[in-house]
Amino acid sequence: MYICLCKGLTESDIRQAGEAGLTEPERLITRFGWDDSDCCGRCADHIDCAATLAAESLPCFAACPARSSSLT
Amino acid sequence: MQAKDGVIELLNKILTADLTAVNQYFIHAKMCGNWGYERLHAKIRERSIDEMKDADDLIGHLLYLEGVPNMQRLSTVQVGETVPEQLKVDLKAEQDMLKILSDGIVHCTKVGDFTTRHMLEDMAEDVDAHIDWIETQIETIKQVGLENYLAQQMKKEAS
Ligand code: FES
Ligand SMILES: [Fe+2]
Ligand SMILES: [Fe+2]
Repeated sequence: MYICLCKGLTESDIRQAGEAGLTEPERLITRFGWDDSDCCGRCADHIDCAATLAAESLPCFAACPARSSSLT
Repeated sequence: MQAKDGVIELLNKILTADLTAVNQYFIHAKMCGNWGYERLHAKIRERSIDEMKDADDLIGHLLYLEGVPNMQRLSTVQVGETVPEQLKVDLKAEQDMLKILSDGIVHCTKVGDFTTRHMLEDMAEDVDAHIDWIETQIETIKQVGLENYLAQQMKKEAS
């Protein structure tokens, strides 16, 4: 799926950012330019969705013992 | 003519869904064309134009009821990266549309607006046909496999 049409980003773009350790909302916003004036603002409004997707892509995610507790 | 209670809001809500669908189908149609799937391109483009015609009717009816058609608002356009993803989100869009229309039909009955109700009933019929077509595609993919299905989409349908 495309997740951001303003910047032409797909789910895998977000996953790649996650794999590289970019998971915090602010850093994702800066990385993808979601605060630019040419963006509709949807992605910044729903930043938690992108942050979750990115966090799930961290290499340590599958093995992370804190995972079940941190996600509930 | 003065609109019955809540009918303008209702019509604008449907208009938003239709304008969103116009864009969603149009991009999907163009992507399919770009991949060489001529049959899908033609079919989905037609879908997009159907939604435009719904928007046309809604805007006309809103003006007739002395409302202001909201051309500004769009919901999220869902774009799939592959044909199966596209079919999935298009199906979801039609199902959401059906829900809005059904609620609208109930509302129109309650406030006694039978002209609007009739219009929504016609639209709901189209949605049923759209859903039917999408479900058939998804089922065919399941049966013949994606590759075979896509190979069949390269040629235009004989009309
Ligand atoms: S869709 Fe991502 S900012 Fe508009
Ligand atoms: Fe429609
Ligand atoms: Fe439709």
